Amino acid sequence: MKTLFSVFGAALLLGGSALAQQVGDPAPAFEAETTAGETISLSDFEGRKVVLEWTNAECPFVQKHYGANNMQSLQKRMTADGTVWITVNSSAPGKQGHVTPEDADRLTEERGAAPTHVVLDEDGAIGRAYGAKTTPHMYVIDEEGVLRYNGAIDTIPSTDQADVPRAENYVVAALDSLDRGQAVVTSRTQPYGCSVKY
Amino acid sequence: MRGRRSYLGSAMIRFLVSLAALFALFAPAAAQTGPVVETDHAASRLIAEREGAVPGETAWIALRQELEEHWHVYWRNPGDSGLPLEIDWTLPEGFEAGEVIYPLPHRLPLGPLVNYGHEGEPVFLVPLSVPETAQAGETARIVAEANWLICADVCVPEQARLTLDLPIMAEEAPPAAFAQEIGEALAARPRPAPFDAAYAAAEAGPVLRLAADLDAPEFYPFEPALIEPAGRQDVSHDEGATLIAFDGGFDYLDAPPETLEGLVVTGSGANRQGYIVEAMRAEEGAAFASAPAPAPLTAGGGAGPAPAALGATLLFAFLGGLILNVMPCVFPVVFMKAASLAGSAGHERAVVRRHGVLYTAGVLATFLAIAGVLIALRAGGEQLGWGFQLQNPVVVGLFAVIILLVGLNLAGLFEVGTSVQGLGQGLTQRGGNAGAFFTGMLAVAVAAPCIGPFLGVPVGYALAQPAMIGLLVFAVVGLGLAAPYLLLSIVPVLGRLLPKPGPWMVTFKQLLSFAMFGTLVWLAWVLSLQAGPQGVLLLGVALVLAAFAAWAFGRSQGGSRGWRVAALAGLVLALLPLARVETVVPQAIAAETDDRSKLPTVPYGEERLAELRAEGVPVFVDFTAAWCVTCQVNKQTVLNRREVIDAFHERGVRYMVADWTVQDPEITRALEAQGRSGVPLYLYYAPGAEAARVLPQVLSVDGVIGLFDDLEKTA
Repeated sequence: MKTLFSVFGAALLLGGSALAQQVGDPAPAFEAETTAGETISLSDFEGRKVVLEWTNAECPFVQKHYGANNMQSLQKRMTADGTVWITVNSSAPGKQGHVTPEDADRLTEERGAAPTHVVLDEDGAIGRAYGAKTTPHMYVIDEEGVLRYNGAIDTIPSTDQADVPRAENYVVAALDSLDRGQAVVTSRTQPYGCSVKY
Repeated sequence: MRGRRSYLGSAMIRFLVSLAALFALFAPAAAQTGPVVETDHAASRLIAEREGAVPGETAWIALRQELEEHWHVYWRNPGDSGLPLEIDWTLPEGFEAGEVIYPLPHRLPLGPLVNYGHEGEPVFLVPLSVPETAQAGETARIVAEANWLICADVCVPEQARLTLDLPIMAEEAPPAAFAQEIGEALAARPRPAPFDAAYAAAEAGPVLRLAADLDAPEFYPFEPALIEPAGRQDVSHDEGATLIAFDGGFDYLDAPPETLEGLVVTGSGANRQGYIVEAMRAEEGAAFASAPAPAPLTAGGGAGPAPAALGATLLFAFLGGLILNVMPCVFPVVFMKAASLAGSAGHERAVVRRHGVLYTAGVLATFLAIAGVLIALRAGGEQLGWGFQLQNPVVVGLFAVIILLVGLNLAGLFEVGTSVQGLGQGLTQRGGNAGAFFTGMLAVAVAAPCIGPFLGVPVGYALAQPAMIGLLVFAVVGLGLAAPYLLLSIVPVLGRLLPKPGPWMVTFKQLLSFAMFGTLVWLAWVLSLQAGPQGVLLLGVALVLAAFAAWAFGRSQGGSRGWRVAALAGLVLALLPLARVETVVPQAIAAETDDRSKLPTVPYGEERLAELRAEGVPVFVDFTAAWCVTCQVNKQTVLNRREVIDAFHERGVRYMVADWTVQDPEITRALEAQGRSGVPLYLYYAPGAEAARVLPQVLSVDGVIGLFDDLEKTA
């Protein structure tokens, strides 16, 4: 019994690196070149809220939210309030959803999207730092650079556009709470979608 | 072919099936199977276990998919990405579809992520409850709007409107075309863990403690965010317990839950088994120190025999093989050997000796071949045991055709190995040699599948050992089986016991043909239980064609080449219907405990057995199979005797039947838990007994009744 106890005790002490990005911690810093050729870093946006959106234009879950004009409306509404919206594409070259900067900008135009910046994260460094799993996968960062929301875009995991109006949007709820100076109630959810094509 | 199994000679069977399909001699039976709906990456249909449903009962139906290679669909918790299957039912009034029972999930790594899902041909079981008010004679239309996400490295949502017309019947309907797929899915569905589970909330993630020594355990949580799918699953073993440490998911890191619920999956290939665990959170590691001792993994557990030393095992193997000669199992072959003895009686000593050695060689070669195939299939994850060849109705049908041909040969319809020159001289030397070897082969293939006295432990042991030791044990069993005949033929003194040749031999041989026809009846009966009326019909056609081939071959021995062609054609045609024989899931054994004229029968199930034992009900477990003649003899001469049936009822003993006529992984596992790998096996669980008492392979009335009395006295 003694050995049993000690083996178990040892197992308890074995720490594992937390794969999931912790809400309440400073959001991982990054520096990246946008599709417009501009170099941005997270610290540039201190004093403004930042939304990160992981995308892959060929993923049916992403198509659901762009097809229903949901993502575009969110982008317009948030950026109008001064929030920075960064669309991140972590598809590796040769994988589904990988695009050139020109293609990315054309997609933005075609879909009537309005992100502040689009970043092509070809080596997946930003995606891995944030633990982005799916497209879409959404993050909200507050004015102090602290991660406040990490998870799904809304409450109904599906590829059906008809579900969009029925669902509650977590990103909207998180930003509303921050605007009112309150804590984000639902700060961590299981993201749904296609896997990020690292 | 529907019954997809890697059996002995499956490649040949497949070849024959495609030939048979070409000829399309027999239309497939109409069955309760919905139309296939093809989507881009899957073919989906609704299937039913039986051809009809009974009012007031639950019918098993399922969504079966054939997925494109390398594409997968998702388990109820899909892991890092993906979506589980969603079904929206439209059912006739009063019908209700229960929750989907998913097949056992697999971990599907994708870059830094891990999903939980299914590839190949998943079967999603659904219990359908049929209202009392349903009217026999009507047909219930089941409609399922199914949505699923199917992914390779890219994902596509697919949907299909699936239908199934299920007739309502007053009595239990016969198994439908996909009964086997549903039966396998039911057998493989996860069951409550027979071991204790708890978890400790370490900072980085939960550490699960399972009170059993598990082989290659994987854990699949029901809830998504409690462990990281792509994180650690560090397994360690400790004094019979298994510990698995995980990286916690965000819900866990936020607040560890009271219970961690999910599926523990052990083993690999067809041996995978899922156990549902509800691990309570233990406050400290100390809580585990007082956890009860590890439970045996199977409810049928009990103390299996300790692995015997090799020397003793080999001795038992030889004795067992020797005794096999007088077991009912081997009766058909005793007749064959008598025939070949009679055949060799007229020959010189050297010839008789050679036949003896060749017979032994045939026995050994076949034993080693079957054991080799069995060991290889088991290594590939198939859950099979000794006698597996007779679990396949196609093989049973082939043996039936061979036995018919042997019978017709003995009856004199045709001669074997007789060239035109040798006509009339009886068996030539060449034919005798081949015949002796062939007799040895048939002795093992048809007659050795059941386990005789002394053989239970060696055969179980052989299959648990490395291949070379296993083969050695089987070879020694074969040597024992062949020993009497070998001795008769090589020891001159014994040889003189053989009768003098004479005209009586012809009469004797013809008489023996009836023993073969008797064997044929037995094989046809076995096949009827495995493949139903359709199978018997196909066998009948095969037998007629084979008999025609034998007759034509006999005519060809008169000289004409044309007859020889006709014989060959008849034989080839005989194989075609055989190849179409398919296993149907046998009628479930009905529980029948009140009728005092019959044994108080309940079908075998690990859970049921555990329940009965927990209730203190004594249980007699009969591991049996239709092809096991010893089992049938025991049943007729002992178990079905009036005084035995009365004793069961008087003592309140339940008679639990584990029917192994067709392959059944649950029963194979239960046999292995007793260190066995074949039938018959008789177990008796006295009320409150820790372990089963193992009975001899040959039962006696006094033995069985005395067993109940004995334990009553000591209890």
